[in-house]
Amino acid sequence: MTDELGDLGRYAGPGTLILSSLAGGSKHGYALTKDIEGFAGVKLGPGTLYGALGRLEQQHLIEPVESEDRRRPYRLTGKGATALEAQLSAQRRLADVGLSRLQLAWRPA
Amino acid sequence: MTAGEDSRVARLLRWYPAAWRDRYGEEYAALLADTLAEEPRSLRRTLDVARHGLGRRLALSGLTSREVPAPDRARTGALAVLGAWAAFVVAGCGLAKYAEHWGDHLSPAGRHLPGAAFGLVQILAALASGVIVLASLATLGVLSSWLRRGSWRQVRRQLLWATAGCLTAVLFTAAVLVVVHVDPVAPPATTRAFSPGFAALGLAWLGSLLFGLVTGIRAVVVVARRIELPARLLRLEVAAAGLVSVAMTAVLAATAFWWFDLPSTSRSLLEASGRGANLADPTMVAVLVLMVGAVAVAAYGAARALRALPEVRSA
Repeated sequence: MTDELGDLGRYAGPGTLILSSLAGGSKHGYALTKDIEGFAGVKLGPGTLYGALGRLEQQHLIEPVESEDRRRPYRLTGKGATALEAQLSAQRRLADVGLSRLQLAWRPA
Repeated sequence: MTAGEDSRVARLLRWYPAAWRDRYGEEYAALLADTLAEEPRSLRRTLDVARHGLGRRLALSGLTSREVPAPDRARTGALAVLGAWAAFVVAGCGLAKYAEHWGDHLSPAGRHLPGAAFGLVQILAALASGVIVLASLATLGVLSSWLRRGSWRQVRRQLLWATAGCLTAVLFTAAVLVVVHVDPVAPPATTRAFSPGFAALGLAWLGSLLFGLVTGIRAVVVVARRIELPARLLRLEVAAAGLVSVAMTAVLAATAFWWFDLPSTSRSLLEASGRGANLADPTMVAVLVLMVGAVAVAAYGAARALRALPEVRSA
């Protein structure tokens, strides 16, 4: 795990979802919740979303984009992309181990 | 957005502290407006906003995070002890009322230890009150120069509420004293507690005390958070908070000892409630629960304040 992931701490859940969403391009709060609901089936509440956005911004993993609208979009930073890649790779390794063990031990008769 | 949605967005935003609203308020209001348009009523959303808003308030006050400077963390920790002390005083009033006639029920053979425990409770409570008074007096110089600069206008609303709270408590206390000691038509002491009128007055008196306490503490907290205390004075306040926290813990321990010793030393006091020698008296359970909660908050606040002190010294 990288230091950036360690920094995400217990907010790794919503943090990873937000970073994954922003990996596809900058989005404002409501667009983020709809996108995350679409690809992960998770509906983040406004408080949870902005709690995670604030922390990710503090860690320089995301940054706000200038906007004329009240809806301020956010985008992924280089540091954020590295952190997300490391996080998803760790999750993939975990998924690979779990799936391979399931196939060996719990193959249907 | 309709006027109703507008006011609901404003209400939800109020869960967050002003500093957070300055940075995120506008974009967060836009998100809330979008979610309200999609789903007008949602308890889950309200709870989510309230939880995170309160979390931000605690974090930006310095109680749960290191996001604010050390002097602010030390001050907030000390104020948490003061708030906990206020709750402790309410519990203490309950204990004093319950133990009003305890001496009459005490068997002579079992007088020594519970008597010492109850005496310790009274001495420590008086000492802690004295420490709080002294710590308050120490800030008078800084407070008066702050007020002379006209800063009281910033806290006018809280001061007015505190004055109203104080006056209400004094008025109701006077009314209770008149009924108990002066009014010739008041029911005798033995039947007074069961008279609906007297019970209503008692409840109103308790409510007025709570109102006075809450508005008073709120005014103190709001004023204290605006005053810049010199490092030396802040260290004194934190030391006082530490002492009060230790005294509260000792009072809780002595109260618990006194309470759990009742069945063996003053059984008739427990039996007077009509529930036999059962320790689960609602008044005393409420007193102990409130005391435990207050001690936990005070210990946490004092620990936060003491931990911030080394940084205050180096500042």
